[in-house]
Amino acid sequence: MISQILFEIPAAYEMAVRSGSLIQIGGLLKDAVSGKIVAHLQESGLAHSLIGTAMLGVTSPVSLGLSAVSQLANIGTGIYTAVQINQLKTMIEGLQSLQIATLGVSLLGVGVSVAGFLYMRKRFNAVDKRIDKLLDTVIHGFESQQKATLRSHLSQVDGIVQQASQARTLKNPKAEYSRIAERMAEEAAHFEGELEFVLKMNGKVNHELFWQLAQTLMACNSVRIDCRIRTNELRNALDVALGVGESYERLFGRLTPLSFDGKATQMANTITALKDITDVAVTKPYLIDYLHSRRIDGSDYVDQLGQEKERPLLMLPVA
Amino acid sequence: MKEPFRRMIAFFRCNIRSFFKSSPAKGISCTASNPSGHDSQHHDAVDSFATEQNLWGFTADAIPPLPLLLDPARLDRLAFRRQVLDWRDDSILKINQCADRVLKEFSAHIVTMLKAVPIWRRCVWPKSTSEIIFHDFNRFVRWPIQHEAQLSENRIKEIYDRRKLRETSVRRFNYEWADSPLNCIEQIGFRPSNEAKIIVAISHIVQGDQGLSDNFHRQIIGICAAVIGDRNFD
Repeated sequence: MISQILFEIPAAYEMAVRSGSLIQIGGLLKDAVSGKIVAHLQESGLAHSLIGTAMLGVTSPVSLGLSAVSQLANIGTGIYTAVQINQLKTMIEGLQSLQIATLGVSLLGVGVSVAGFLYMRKRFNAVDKRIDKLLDTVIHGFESQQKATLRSHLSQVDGIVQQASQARTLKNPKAEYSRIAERMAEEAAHFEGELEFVLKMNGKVNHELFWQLAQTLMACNSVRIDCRIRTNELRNALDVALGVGESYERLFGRLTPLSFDGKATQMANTITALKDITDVAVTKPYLIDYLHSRRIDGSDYVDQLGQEKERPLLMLPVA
Repeated sequence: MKEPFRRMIAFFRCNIRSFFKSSPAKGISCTASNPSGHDSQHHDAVDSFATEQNLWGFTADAIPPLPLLLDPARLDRLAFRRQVLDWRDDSILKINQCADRVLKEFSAHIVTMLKAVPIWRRCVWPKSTSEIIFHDFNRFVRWPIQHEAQLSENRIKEIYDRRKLRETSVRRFNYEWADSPLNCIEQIGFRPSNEAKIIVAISHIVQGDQGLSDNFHRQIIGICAAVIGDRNFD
């Protein structure tokens, strides 16, 4: 086990990305000539405390364009101090310089997710309420039995995340995390099925329902991988992350700006976000592979990132 | 004998370190915060430990890393896939925007033309709409959309060229229409009283299902699927 994990700041790589000597693919940077991976982008716990609360009010990536910083600052007026706005600005600029600004809206794991289960639960609750409202009003094609099943699964997910947030006080939290990872795998499979169903419905896809279900699926997968990393089951986390990446490629890759029921120009933001999310999901196994290869303890890794108080985004250089 | 001995020492040193709560070293450009919240005194201890390690020439990295399980070469496929998907979405969006714009312009043109229809043509024997608008439709609608498609075709060619991939026929658009799209308005007389009917029919020809714009969208998705070699787009 290597207990000392050294990070760098994304700004250190910006010039090289701009000059083209480094290429950004999803959540990693690789050398343009040798093709070797140079560094992995990694969010810290600060990222979530900075924009997590504000983003709970954002229902889709539609409202986020290039002026993400000012929009977020506006959303968060009254929430942020001057220092926090600066940190937020640095974070968004970092994401923009790496051309993945839309990830701010998903906040579900640039690198290993360190969102924390309490935040995840808040997020689930927000999604749950919106889906509930949608099912009651605008969604056609869902039979009442299907609505009831969906609601039941949302409640189950909420319960599982609550258990995850309480697991750390157990004498043996690893066993609990393993159990939660298993249950989340089942829930992720369910929500993947629901998304498939929504995508196969006749006509244009209901954008809001799709986005809420997609968020739930992403959060389930994020918690699954998170739990496996906390139990230091990195080899298994790698397999799970590979499967998740493939599933996002399959689910989201077929969608275009014209697939949804909204204006094509606005839907293009959603599509960009989905492509970014997919790329990050597909490159995440490379980060886990690196942690595994260097014998970095998963639990230590998550703990260190969770307690970072200065920088929302970090780079893990590849030795 | 020297190397195994060095490894054995490194192994024991790492294990001894694992009894302590992990903490980052001081003086590194950026490290994650110390999870245990230890004070600077502890940092100093870690520093001296690190220095001692360096003096001895051992670090925790002395244990050889496990082999990587994933091949970084696969990332090229991912980058290429992203480029093609971006091309697909950008092309669809541009053709869609172009179709919206020309449709708006052409609808206004139709209204102007309808106002100019002579009185006697309005009452008896109005000419067929398809006959009247054929050339203007091509000039105002069809050619601009095809031009946008041509630009899109050039962009996918650039992706191919940049990647030094062999040019294939899959990226070619088919600009031909099996049937004249204007057949459906052949029966509509070109007179002001049919204005709404004509506008709706033309909107359908341009933006409707199987319309001019949709025809290119389908082709773009098909090309994308063929280029990526991905069955998810079926």
